[in-house]
Amino acid sequence: MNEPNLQACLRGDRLAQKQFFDRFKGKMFALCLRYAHSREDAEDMLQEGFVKVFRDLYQYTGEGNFEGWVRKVFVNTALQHLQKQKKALITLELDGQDIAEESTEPFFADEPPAKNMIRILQQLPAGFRTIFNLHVLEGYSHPEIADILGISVGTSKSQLMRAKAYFRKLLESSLTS
Amino acid sequence: MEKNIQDDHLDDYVRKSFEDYEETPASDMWGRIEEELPPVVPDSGAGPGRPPVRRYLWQMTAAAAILLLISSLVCGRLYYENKIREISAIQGTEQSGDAQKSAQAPSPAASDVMPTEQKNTSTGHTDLSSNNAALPKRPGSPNLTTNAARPPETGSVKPSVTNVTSAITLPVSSSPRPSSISEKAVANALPTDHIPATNAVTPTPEKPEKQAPLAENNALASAANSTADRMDSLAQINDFQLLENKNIPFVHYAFTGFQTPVIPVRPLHTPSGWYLGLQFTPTLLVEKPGPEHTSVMRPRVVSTQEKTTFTADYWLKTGKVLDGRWGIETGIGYRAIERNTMHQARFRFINGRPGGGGSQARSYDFDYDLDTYGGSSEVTLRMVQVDSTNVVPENEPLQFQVKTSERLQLLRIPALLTARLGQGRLTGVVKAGLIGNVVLRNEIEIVTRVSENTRFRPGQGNNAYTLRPDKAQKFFLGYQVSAGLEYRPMKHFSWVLEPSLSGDFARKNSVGKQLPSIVTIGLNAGVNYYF
Repeated sequence: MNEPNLQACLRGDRLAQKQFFDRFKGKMFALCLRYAHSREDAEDMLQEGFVKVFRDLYQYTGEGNFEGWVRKVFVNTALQHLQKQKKALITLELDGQDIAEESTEPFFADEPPAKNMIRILQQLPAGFRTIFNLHVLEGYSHPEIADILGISVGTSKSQLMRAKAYFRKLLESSLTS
Repeated sequence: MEKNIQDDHLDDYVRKSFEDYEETPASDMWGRIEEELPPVVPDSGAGPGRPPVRRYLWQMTAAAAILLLISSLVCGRLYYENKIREISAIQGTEQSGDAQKSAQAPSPAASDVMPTEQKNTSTGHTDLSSNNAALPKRPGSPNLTTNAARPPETGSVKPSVTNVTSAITLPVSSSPRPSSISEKAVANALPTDHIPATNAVTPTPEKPEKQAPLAENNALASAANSTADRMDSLAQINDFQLLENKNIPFVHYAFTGFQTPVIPVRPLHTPSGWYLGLQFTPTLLVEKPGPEHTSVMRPRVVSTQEKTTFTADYWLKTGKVLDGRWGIETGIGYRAIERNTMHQARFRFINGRPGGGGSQARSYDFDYDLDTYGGSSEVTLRMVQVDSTNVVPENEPLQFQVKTSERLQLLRIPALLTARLGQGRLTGVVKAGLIGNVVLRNEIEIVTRVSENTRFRPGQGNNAYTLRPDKAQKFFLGYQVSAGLEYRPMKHFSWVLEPSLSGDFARKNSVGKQLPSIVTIGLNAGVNYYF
């Protein structure tokens, strides 16, 4: 696949921007699906993320992994999207409340495991899903998560434990169904 | 331990599952993104891609307001001219009707006027008013002649002849140029050879000061006598009638078959209650700050207005007094606000993301949301590490001060209920209601940036900061209450002086956070024109 011409993208060249979009759309949409509650939400995140990437492209100075920079923009976009919906805030306060632990989605063996897991992740409360994604799949540490989400490190740790337990239950339930 | 191992297995399994995994978005996704991307525009310095309509919105609004004012004045003028024309036409119809009646009368001139012997007074002068007395008079119709020219209702008392003699003042030999339509009519219709007298009857000048002295009048008495004689021949022409201008106490002979004299009459007018006003309101702005910014994803930001701001509202108002006390008022107003605000953003070093600049000059970009009167803006500040060899702890607190300058232009549309207290020229006026604010222009820029952490300094150059305004509200509601005095020295004009208090209802940005609002204290001063 051809690498996109960043200078042309910066000038607003639509053809270059389309190439850029084609280059990253698959991976970034998978990322958005992990954070979103639904496919529609993920598409909104993807749309918003690409607009931000094209807008802030000048900030990338060539240092570091470009895909990593793009991914960071998309993660921030996903978090802001959740914040707008106030889902992250609400579900982080779910301590002590009963939550369903049975998956309603069966695990399809003929589909990629990631596709099945996206369906399971989308059943998690937004707070759990966010912490799970940030820690397990993005590699953020608990202090980083605490700063990003504005919570304490202890809360981050406890919520991650609960998120993982919840995810495991749903996965097992999905595999057995 | 076993659980941790299980967790690690789970983490690895999930990570590997998502490694290089891709999903295909909807086919129209690129189209949706393309719609949101800014258009590529040449650098003309006229703002990034603002459509022409928005760019000239303020000028268009001002032009519309001026057009409204001018058209209102023109319409008012046309209304009065039309009214005067209508009333004058009605009077003309009445006069011509009267003339027709006199013409259709069975030779009134022959029966009443022609026997001059019967009309002659003891002094031997002709009673000219008797000719006018023959004209029927509609009850209630405008009295176009003086009582001197019209006999009393009893009809028995004859007016003094001196009215006639004094009215015909100039020597009959003089022949001044006709100066009015009726005079011209006389001049045109009555060539001197038509009158068998030795001297032609000439219209008198209009200015009374040019009247001849009394002695001269006496000397002219004989001329008047001969004039009275000539009236016999004049009276034979049925289309003549004697008119007397109320303001000009001279006799005019008008040829009614040629032109109906039109006397401009100002209509009796009662103001309709509608008015148009221009007002100017010097205003003091007092900010009501919104709650402290405590977003979970953004650092804490505290905003404080730097100093109290003064501005002015310019109004073009119209309204109607409904029943003497209650009324309504609306219009169009303009307000320009320029205010400076200091924002303090508290970060941790970990909040920054690498901003480039090479290994020798590490720079970091810090994002935060700024809430201002005009709306929210997303700010990215680039801070440069002063000593790049130092290792900065992730939790290092960083505090930045950012001073912003906002420029807002608002189009204001009031909907007020008014109450007038008292009667006479000076009345109390109380107004209250809503004001719709349309944002014409909303610009914000960062004026200064200061780092309170000595390890960092603000970045320089083109990428030193970015400020991206959120989708701000284009319309928001406010309120206004005022109480003052209205002085009406003339029927149509009044002066207004009203202390006023106005403010905005609570507004929220696109993510539901309350924005700062403004309370204003002002003094409306202006003038109203009542139609």
